[in-house]
Amino acid sequence: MTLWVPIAFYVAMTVVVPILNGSPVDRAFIEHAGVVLVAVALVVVLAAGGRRLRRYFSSESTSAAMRQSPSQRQTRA
Amino acid sequence: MTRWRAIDVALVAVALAAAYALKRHYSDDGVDQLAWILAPTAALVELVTGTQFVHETGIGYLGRESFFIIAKPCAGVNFLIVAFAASVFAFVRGRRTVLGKLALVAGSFAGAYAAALVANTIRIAIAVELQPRLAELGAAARERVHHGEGVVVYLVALLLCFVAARRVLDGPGRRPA
Repeated sequence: MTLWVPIAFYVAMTVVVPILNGSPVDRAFIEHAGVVLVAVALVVVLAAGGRRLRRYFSSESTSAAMRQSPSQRQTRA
Repeated sequence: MTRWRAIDVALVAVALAAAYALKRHYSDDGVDQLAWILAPTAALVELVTGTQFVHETGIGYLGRESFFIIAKPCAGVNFLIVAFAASVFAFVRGRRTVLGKLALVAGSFAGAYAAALVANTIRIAIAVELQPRLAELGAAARERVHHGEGVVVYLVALLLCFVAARRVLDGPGRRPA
């Protein structure tokens, strides 16, 4: 499962619930919502980048293992 | 993916009802009624920063040397609610037995409470450290920095908790209870 569940709950609790509770959507609230959404976007971008890097390095190590000669593989085993 | 069963839906509903009750308690009650989370938070901040905090009725916990107040917004109750509700929602289907599901709900609350204490402590300790450096800024700018720092600390703590919980509950080689 992805991190969408906690992110969705976090945005709901910090932005949607106050609006439903009747908080005034004034400048301060828009600033608060902006900070929350920018932080969420930043975390999503960083998580996606981290996942791509991990995938890249794991595929690199797999192809490096495939490039090894059978004798080398036997020696390691 | 495991399908939703009636017991799962019922337990998520219970978790959401508990979250709603907690939110009402946080909104309606004063700072002194939040001692169950503010007192241990103040104790942990004292331990980390070395700043002494004393309880002031109706205000919160006042750091006499730093003039920093641990007030109602520092309680992290919204974080606790999100961590608890999101954990139950995400992991309840993976537990096989009713006992396992009930243990998940109880464990999610205990874990969310502990995580809230740690996140509160980190957030307040950073704010206490930053306070002298931000002294020349205006009150509004200081408030903005404190707010932004809170959003980042709580969001990162929430995601780290979720990743840790996922490893513990659904990690490789583990059979759901």
